[in-house]
Amino acid sequence: MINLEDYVERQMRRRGIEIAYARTLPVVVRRIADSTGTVLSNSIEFDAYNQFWFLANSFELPIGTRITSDTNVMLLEAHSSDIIEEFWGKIKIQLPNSFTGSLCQALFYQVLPK
Amino acid sequence: MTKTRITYYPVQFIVLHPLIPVTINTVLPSHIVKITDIKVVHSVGVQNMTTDKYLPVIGHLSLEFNSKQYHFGNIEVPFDYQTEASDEFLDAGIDIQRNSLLTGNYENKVFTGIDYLKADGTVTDKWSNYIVTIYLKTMSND
Repeated sequence: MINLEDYVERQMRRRGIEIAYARTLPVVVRRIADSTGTVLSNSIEFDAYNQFWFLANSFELPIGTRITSDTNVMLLEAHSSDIIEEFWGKIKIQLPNSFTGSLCQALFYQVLPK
Repeated sequence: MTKTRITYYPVQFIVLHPLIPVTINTVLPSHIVKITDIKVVHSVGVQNMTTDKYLPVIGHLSLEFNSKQYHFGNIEVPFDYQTEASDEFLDAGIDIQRNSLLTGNYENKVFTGIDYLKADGTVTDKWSNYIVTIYLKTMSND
């Protein structure tokens, strides 16, 4: 399994970027359905401009989860602990229609550059 | 002695499924020193799925140069099957680091309905794989 902090530090160093601040941050995505079972919401969208967000727990997200941002778009097709995806800009996490739970937590490593 | 000249460097990718994003990950040749202009065009395939001659957006392409150090931005890729199709390039002006990565992602935005996609996620006969080409107008030292 890749050590996320080491990976991020190496990536930033290669790009000549100094890290000002970094932390692990959970993002909860709720699935809201009405009494008939119609899904009203199963996604969340937020701004992460001028910062890098690295997905830390892709292996815990449901297969079919789609995460898009200004720089990346990811469709989770299989579970693997060796995939680290990077996002920047407006991030949207969309749960698959097959997900029937009420909430899901995506864990990110947020990096603010100097 | 090397002499700088203008060359056009194409990068192609194929879209095999309406919902699966395409990742671009390639090293640019070391003789490319600068990218002056960029053009992204649909090459072949979409005309098999529609009778329209023009669709303003078939997908979104995000491009990063110099091993993810420079994000060019998001480009809306059109389908233009008209004789008077635009041949306009986008201004870039990016100095390229030697042996750096060109990375990007493409997300298809059309033909995602039930006519093209079965309930089990596989594509129907109406879906046609298509090819998109990124033309890089470059200054080359070859």
